[in-house]
Amino acid sequence: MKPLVEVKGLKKYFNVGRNTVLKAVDDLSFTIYQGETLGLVGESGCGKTTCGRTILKLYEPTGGSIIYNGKDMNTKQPRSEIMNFKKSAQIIFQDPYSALDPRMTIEEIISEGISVHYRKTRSETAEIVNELLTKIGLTGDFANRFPHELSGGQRQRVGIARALAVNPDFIVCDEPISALDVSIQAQIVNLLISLQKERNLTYLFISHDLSMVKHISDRVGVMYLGNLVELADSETLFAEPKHPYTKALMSAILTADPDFEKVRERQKLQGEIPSPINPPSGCKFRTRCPYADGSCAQTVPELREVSPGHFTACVKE
Amino acid sequence: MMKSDIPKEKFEIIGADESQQELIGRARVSYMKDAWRRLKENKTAMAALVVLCFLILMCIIGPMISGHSFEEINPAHRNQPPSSEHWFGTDRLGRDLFTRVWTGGRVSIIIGVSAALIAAVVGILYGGICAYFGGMVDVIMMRILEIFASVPSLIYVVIFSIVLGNANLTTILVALCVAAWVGPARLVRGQMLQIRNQEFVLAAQALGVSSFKIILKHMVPNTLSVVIVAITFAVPGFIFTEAFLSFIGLGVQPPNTSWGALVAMAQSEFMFFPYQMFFPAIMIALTMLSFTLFGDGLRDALDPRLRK
Ligand SMILES: Nc1ncnc2c1ncn2[C@@H]1O[C@H](COP(=O)(O)OP(=O)(O)O)[C@@H](O)[C@H]1O
Ligand SMILES: [Mg+2]
Repeated sequence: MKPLVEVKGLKKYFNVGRNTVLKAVDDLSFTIYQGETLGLVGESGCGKTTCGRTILKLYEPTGGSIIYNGKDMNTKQPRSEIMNFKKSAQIIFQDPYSALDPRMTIEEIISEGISVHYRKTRSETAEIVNELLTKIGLTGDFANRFPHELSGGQRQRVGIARALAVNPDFIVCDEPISALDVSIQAQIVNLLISLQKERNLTYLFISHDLSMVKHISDRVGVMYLGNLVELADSETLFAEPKHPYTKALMSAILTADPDFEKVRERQKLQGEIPSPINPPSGCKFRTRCPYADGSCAQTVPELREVSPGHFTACVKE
Repeated sequence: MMKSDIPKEKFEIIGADESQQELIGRARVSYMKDAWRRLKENKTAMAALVVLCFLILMCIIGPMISGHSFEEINPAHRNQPPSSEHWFGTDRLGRDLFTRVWTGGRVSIIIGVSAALIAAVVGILYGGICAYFGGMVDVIMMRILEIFASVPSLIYVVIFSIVLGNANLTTILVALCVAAWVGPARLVRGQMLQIRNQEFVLAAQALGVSSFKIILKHMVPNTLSVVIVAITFAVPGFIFTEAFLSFIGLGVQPPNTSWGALVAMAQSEFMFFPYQMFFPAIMIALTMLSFTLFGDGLRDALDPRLRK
């Protein structure tokens, strides 16, 4: 498989107040292959959104490289290259309410990117918008409505159509379903899956819902305080999680099997997630890890390949 | 069984009903056209607009149709009640009140509208710069603004009127605007900061829309509607402040006049000739009420969430 996005040592620090930096993403590396879905999970506040937005250069990276289609987007690139990147890499947001401009009609929203990247007449654009609306499960009738007339699920579909309008190859899906009703979530996920098959899309699928991530992803990365702690293909990760943090996350999933629920060992996460402004030394997870000892405070664990394609960052493993 | 094990078929998109696709939707409308349509449907706002137009029209043509000049003193016709000769009566110098009310209205309305516009323009620039540059620029500029805001605006107005001396249109406007931009500046800054962090702006950036177009298409329309409404609501406030200034003798000086000055003049005769106060007072009240009601309707019209 061909890599589409290679993230190497990505850093995004926010300046918060005088002389304080918040390391939202710190030295993050992973690769997304063409046509796959890479899931990204982790507790709220661990830097998933920041990671997704920095990859798309919506946030200026503090360091590292983002190699997209062989070109490092974090170095100076000619304008045509930047515009190509903008056309090729898109994003779907978590909050379908703030993601659409309340003063634009659905047609204006969806066609915003078309006018940037393609030369189309008005009627051609209207035709494309109409097709897209049907594709995502709405009707052409929606074109003249305003966002507030739509339900959350419908808005999310419009957000998807806006991203699709420029014919992207890669889409960052930042918790696209977590703000929706459970009954709508599966519909949106299935829409994303069928669009992926049809258009050979590559997804970075961010979520804190492990079961949904398992459902949609080929490979899954687990994030903790701005770093990846484990990365493996979806089956392997769920069958044999290696990192204590992944194990703890897994045991928080409720299953629908009461017998299994009785016998399985639960591993609760102790305490709160530490502040990214002042993270623990060495392994950042050590303050909540049941296996931590003195050595964990000394060295920062590297992401190592423990079995083919299965990476984890724990010195104990 | 986990949530992910629910059979996929159960959640297939059934797609749109083919028969509905030919259905002709609502006619294509732009945001401003849609707002205008909603404004037209609002009876109160339209009535207020009609009253305002009438008042403005009368201010323009009123002094011409009365057959009297606003300065013309006629000792023989002092303190006359309304008649066919003097429609609103005359004051204690025998000047025609109909002419004077509409001449004064020119001053009042011009001051009210220009002060609101000047305050809004300064406020948009100041607030826009704060929001755009952020950081230290924002901090310093907001501190300066707070210093201005901490003194009651009437004190500025009175001090400036006294310092600038012989009051005319310009000095009154300057006095009114010294502190008036503070409100719009805060409003614009807050609105801009809020919009800048909305995800639709990020989406536009991800699509490669230029900064200029983002400002033009997202920031300005979302800020402007708030500002337009604020201007409409500010006008009656300025008209009233001007009336107050004239009332205490710091406003327009005779023989020029304004509604406030007319009320002040009528005050001494109020016991015997109440109609002298009635006409300018009712004009002040009508104008203020109309602007407020119209502003109300405008706010509703510009907010698409209220669209039916
Ligand atoms: N624009 C910002 N300025 C300062 N801090 C931020 C900003 N965006 C995110 N953060 C901080 O970065 C950390 C990671 O946030 P985020 O990426 O939103 O996490 P997640 O999406 O995993 O919930 C959080 O501690 C958050 O407070
Ligand atoms: Mg997030």
